[in-house]
Amino acid sequence: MSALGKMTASETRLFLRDPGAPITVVGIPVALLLVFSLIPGASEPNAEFGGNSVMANLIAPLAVAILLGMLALTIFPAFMATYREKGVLRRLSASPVSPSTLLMAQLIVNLVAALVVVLLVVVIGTAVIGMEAPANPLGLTVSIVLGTAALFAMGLLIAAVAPTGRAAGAIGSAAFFPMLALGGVWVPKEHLPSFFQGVADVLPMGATYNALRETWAGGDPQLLQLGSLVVFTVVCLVLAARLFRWQ
Amino acid sequence: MPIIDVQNLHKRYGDKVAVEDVSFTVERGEIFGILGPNGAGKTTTVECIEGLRKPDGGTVSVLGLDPRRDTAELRQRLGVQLQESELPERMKVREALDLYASFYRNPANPDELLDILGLTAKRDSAYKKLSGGQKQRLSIALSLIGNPEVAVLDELTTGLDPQARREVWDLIEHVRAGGVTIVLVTHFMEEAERLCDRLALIDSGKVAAIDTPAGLVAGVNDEQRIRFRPSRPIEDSVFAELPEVRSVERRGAQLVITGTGNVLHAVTSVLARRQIIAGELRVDQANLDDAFVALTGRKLD
Ligand SMILES: Nc1ncnc2c1ncn2[C@@H]1O[C@H](COP(=O)(O)OP(=O)(O)OP(=O)(O)O)[C@@H](O)[C@H]1O
Ligand SMILES: [Mg+2]
Repeated sequence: MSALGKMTASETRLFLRDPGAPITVVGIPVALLLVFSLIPGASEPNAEFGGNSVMANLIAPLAVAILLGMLALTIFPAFMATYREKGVLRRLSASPVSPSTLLMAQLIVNLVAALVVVLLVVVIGTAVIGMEAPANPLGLTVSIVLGTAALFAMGLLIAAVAPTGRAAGAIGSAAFFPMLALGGVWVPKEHLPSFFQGVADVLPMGATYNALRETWAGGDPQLLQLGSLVVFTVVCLVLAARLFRWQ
Repeated sequence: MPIIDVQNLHKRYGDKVAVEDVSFTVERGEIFGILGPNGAGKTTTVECIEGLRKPDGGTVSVLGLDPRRDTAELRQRLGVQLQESELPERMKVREALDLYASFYRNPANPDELLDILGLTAKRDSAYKKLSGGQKQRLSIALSLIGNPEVAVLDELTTGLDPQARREVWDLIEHVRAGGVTIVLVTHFMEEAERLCDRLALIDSGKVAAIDTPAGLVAGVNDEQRIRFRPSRPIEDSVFAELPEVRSVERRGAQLVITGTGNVLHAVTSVLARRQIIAGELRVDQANLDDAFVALTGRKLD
């Protein structure tokens, strides 16, 4: 097996052994879906949401967006920063395999985890809870791919500068929670004050969440949402590449 | 041809000079020590050998390779144990060895290595569950997993208790017997005295001396200090007039005599002739610590 293959297998084991990560990845979205589905009528068409159910319009996109955000902004950067802090990256620098291989392996593991979350939400949502399937699957896929790219690029930037695993977790949370609020995740963006409605489609969390809402209901993602996701991806990647410290 | 050749190495961090001017060579098959106080520039020196840092001046050649240019080839043939480098907490001992073994063209057998290092019983333990000595041994195992020709070990036994430290020393001798050339960074003179064929004393980024441990000690000071409690009173002058004796002092009931050459024989002969017994007899000889003080005017720790 190649070094990347071996390393990915190893990182997968470590991810699964982590006390928080696997429970978070599977538990939070499943719990969100199940708890909200207990509300009477949550999976029924609802005039307030243009004929969609609350589950499909709010809760499923929320479960996906929150988990993408947690994986990309806290779990992934904390792993990488801990590796730097503990000298794992440095030990690799002194071996025939470069520490960038470990970074790749970590990205692969987290992206697979993200994919698992999306599939879980869609499958449980439609098969178990009986909410409607995404009405614009292509648009949904594009939104998820671009949202994942933007959020992981931010995570990479955090991993690049955080000196310790703890610091990475703190910086990640400091980016994650305000972006949830500003993105209209707690209060749907149509109920936000008008100034914040514009912001909700710009920051990566909100842009992803709102694009998921649109496409689940059958609409197209807004250009503003996709455009800002691309801009965030590029800017964060360029900064991360400049700032990343391997030791 | 020396296996490692360092000439006039110079390295700064910004304005701070970490290594002023260091030159030495290491021959195939020897255990070469680099000994010096905290901040002397030992780690910086070996990191230049390992190709992890770029020297600001001088030349470094390892196995005929330039560490900055032929890095890929060097990585295959040089084993490294870094000062302060851990593994992921939940990685198991055997997993770590398997992973690192997969990086090398010609890896050692992980099971054999575990056996030699006394870690077989711990093969399924997570890294965070290992004791300090076990972590250190695993770190040594990882530096040897690629079957290196040279191993550079930085602060091998810092933080270990004396028992664990002695075990690690035995291990290093075993590794050397297997034909691996070893560069050992330490600030323990006992470790250097016990293991090294030759060593470089480094102070403030400069080499103070390079020699065998015995040569370093003999070169600077062959003074001995004899302490005992005589069983009957005896005048100082009896000892002071011996040609080997340099000074005679009293500390309470104890006599402290310093001298050179055969001073111990001279003193005990006097005592025997007068039928005086030397109680609590102790003889201190100069060691590497004294050599270091004599060479640099400073203590090692
Ligand atoms: N990355 C760095 N940036 C700036 N200064 C550094 C860096 N690494 C080391 N130094 C400084 O360079 C000097 C030499 O450090 P070095 O680590 O080589 O010493 P050492 O002999 O290995 O010490 P120790 O016994 O404590 O390990 C020290 O004064 C140290 O503070
Ligand atoms: Mg050091």
